[in-house]
Amino acid sequence: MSFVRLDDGHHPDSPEVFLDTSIHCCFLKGETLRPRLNWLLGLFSWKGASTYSKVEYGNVILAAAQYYLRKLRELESVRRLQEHISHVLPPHQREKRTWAFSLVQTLGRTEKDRTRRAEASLRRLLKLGTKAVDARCDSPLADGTSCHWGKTGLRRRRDGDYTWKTPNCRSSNRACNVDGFFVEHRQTFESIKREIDALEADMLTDELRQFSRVIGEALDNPSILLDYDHGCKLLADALIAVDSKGYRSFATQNYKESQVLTKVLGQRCYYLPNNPERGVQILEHGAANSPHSRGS
Amino acid sequence: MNRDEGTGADLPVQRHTITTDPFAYESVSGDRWAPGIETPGSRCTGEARRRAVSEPAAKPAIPSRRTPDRAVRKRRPYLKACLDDLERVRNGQEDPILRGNSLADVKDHLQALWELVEGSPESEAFEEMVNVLQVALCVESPEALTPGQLEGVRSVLVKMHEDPDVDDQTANDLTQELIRSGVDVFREIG
Repeated sequence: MSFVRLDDGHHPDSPEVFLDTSIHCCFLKGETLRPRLNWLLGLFSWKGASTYSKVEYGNVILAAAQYYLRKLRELESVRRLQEHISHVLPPHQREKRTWAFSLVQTLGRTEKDRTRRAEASLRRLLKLGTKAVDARCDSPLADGTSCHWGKTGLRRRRDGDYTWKTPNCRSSNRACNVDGFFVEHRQTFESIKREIDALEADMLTDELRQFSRVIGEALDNPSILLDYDHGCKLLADALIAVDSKGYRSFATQNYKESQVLTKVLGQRCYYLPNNPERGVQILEHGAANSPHSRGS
Repeated sequence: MNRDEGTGADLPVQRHTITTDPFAYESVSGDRWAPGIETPGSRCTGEARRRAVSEPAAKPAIPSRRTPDRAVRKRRPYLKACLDDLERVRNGQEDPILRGNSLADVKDHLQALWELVEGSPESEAFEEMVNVLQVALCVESPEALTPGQLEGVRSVLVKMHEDPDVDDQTANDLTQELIRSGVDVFREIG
């Protein structure tokens, strides 16, 4: 398998594309991704996603917005917030280094104004919640898992502020259909496990190993998936991929896992690297694995 | 002393005691003098409600506003001015200077609107929407905006002009509408 950089004359095989969660997060990654993202999405007339992506969007984007908002109110300055994120946060919290507030610097005339605008933007982002996923796709979203948390994870506190709660689903309290979804697509999950188990060591990632292990456990007892921390969370990208069954094109930023999943599902994998020099790439099955090894 | 036997020669303080008697309201309903006869107002038993011919309306005729009317009225002229100038941006295809100037005017009106509502606790959702619109129009020239994006902004401005008392739910609907029309509403964060 290898990734090849797309040129302007590319014509996709299908009019529809499935966006995984990483693409939804791209919408908030600023100008380095924006033009390429728009170009990629412009190739398709129908954009789909999974309702399960809402949970991941909440865990990544809404949780970050909540942290930034709390810190912004505490420090009372967007400049001090950026300094805090860049210089104070320890390396293991680097996932919080998400936003640069680039345009806020242009719009706000004073530091107070910039801070106020950053707060208004973060508030709006948080209040909109997982509806952002719906708004960026064509309805209806794929809803194989009937994920409960995607609809209810955003709560309003007594003081009026919105907060994203990390899922705490338990198998003792069945709230979704993730186990039924697994049973329904049992053969596909088995194929994914087989494909992962057959991979050479240099292509295996921790996440792929985890997929294989959890699928193995769920084949014996699908209800383990109902437990968020030990079940569906560990299989998230695979669940979303299987929910995309029927789509012939799949867009992602996680090429390592997606190159395996799209191969099993017979999809064309579009990869959007963070580095603008690499453009937009497409996976061609049958050669080396890294998008950095050729074609870019 | 039994107050019913008062002669009129009682001390003022005693008369005052009578008027503050917690049961004094009974005399209004006539219960003391005609026991057994229920009146609509007697003893707060719910009888009046039960006997009422008309049911209370499910909703108040006029929806309650969170934002004071005066504050809401102040927003309309700015929004109208935005709409007028945006119309020139959309329709002035043959005159790029007019389009550019009109876009600058829309931005000025939005900035004035931002300054009007910024920091006001009851205008939080409206303030957020003004910020979103400013972000949407933060481009160097009108050519950077597609017709779909301009139409999305116009549609949202029309709705805000019709009802400038924007709450969180409305703001969510408007934000989604902008996203669907291709506007990058959270561009300033990234």
